[in-house]
Amino acid sequence: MVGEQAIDAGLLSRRVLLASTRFAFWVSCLLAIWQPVGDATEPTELPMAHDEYVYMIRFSPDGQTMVTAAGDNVARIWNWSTRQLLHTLAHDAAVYAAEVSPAGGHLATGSGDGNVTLWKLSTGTQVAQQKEHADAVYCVNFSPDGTHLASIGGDGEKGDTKCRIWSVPALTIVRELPGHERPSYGVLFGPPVGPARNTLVTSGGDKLIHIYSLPVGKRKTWTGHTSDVYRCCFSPDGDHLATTSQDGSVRLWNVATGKLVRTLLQVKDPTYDVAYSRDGGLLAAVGDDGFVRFWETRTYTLLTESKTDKEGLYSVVFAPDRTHVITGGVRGVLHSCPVPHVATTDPATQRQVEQDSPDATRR
Amino acid sequence: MQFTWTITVLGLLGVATQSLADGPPANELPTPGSVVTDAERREVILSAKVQFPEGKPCINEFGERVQAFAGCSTAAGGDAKMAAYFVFLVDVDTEQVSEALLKLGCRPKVHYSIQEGRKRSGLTAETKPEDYLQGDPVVLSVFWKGDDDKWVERAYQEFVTEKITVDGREVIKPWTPHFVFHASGTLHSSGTGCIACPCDCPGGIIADNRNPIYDPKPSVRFDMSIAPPPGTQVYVKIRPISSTAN
Repeated sequence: MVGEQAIDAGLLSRRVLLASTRFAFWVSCLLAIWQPVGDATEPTELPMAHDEYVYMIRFSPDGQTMVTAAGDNVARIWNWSTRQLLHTLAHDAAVYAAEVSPAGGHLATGSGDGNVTLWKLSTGTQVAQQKEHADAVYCVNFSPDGTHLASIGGDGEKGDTKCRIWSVPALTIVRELPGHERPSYGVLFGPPVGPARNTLVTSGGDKLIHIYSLPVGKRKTWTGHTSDVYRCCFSPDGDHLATTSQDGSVRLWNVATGKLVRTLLQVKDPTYDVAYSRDGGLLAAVGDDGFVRFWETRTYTLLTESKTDKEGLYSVVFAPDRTHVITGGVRGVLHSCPVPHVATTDPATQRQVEQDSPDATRR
Repeated sequence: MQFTWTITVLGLLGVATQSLADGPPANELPTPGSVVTDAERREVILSAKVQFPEGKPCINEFGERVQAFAGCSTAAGGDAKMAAYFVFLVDVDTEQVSEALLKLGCRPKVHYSIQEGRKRSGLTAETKPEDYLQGDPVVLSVFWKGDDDKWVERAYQEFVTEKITVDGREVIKPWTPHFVFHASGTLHSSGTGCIACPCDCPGGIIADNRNPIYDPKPSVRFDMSIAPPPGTQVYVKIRPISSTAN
């Protein structure tokens, strides 16, 4: 009897344990379901930051690594899954630009002292560094095949605004392009498909966008912005280029014709950065008003705008899972901002945007 | 304590804000887009419009900011990068303002580019005199024609209050900046457009150099309710105290 009781007691305790384990499991499931819903509507501050001015955020192609460049003279390499800081890359000046190579092996940075530096992404060790720019380097970008790196910058009225194209990984100059008459803020190789294939675009303080055909270097100039043109981004199919500017607009250009398709946004404060989602279905933009704005790219309709930071935002990038964008700006903090749901773009209907009127979303 | 300061501030405002019935407090007013350099009265007069930089730091709430409250719409050959931050938006290049002050004998002494300034930022035991922007002191005021057709002149710092912490308690006090003409913004082509910054910042041409560059920044609040309404034509007056010593 005692033995039976002991067996029953043991059985009971196992059942209690099992029940409590099941209860804990279901509670955790409910919490897991509930928590993201709460997070999904509001920007969330990430536990990854700099002391000030995050100028650029980039992800490695495999989505495992995030890189940030900032005004506190460092670039940081983060493990995106664990949010852990992996490496801090010291510079002697503000780091305005960071870009991961298409294969994910290298990280390039551009800094305020004119240095272009190539790093091994996995170890954070310096591979090469060149100081050919006389002034700050504001943007760097790898060619789609990863064999070349473009850099551009400037300072004031008479600064060095040349666009330099380097070999990778040696960092020897293979070509110099004349640049802009005022500081140049953006440089971008076209994607390897569509009309932007074999092109390089630069944007500058002279209100102009230059688009070069490569390797010849023949240049066309697009006009329309009424003040400094900052960063720009090609749509993944290469059909469109979105640009930001001190004039407070986000503009959309047809790459094949060079024509302004539409002014997507016109606000009082400057806009600084734009990013397409990898599938091309969404466009995000940020600027000095601290808002993140999203457009779906079938008709380029503004979907949402959310105040993400009380101060200006300099960089926006889509997180690898496309459910969020990551932003950074004046305060040095990073935010994860949920993207609105939109069906994957049907390329067949993409051209609808070209038939629309060029009205801006004016705020 | 706070009450005492408030009374003091109100008292100072009552005494210091001038209502001038007999004409503008300047020999000559600049037409929009020009600068008056008055060698006799030793002052520079700038034409400006009031704008409401809604949502920007330190506008109607306490905060820290590097941008000036008075600044130019253009600088370094282009649009001023910080134009949307200014309450008093001056309609000439920052370079013209610097030039006018230089004409009156006002001299910059320690100036840096923004890049170099960042390297010298912060107050530590090793902070050196050259870690502060330096130059001849200046006094700024703003004047405009009020609703009753009388001219009103108010010192730049009277639009602003400062918050400090004393014995763990926050205290609101008058803003007591020490403005110097360092000219960094034009000597190094910063392009910000800032004229007079509320901290020691090499982006503009005049800075409050009570603290070293950038850090610490005072916590200040610009009270838009005591400024004329947005769109009002105002004039910014800068009076240098030119030194003869090196």
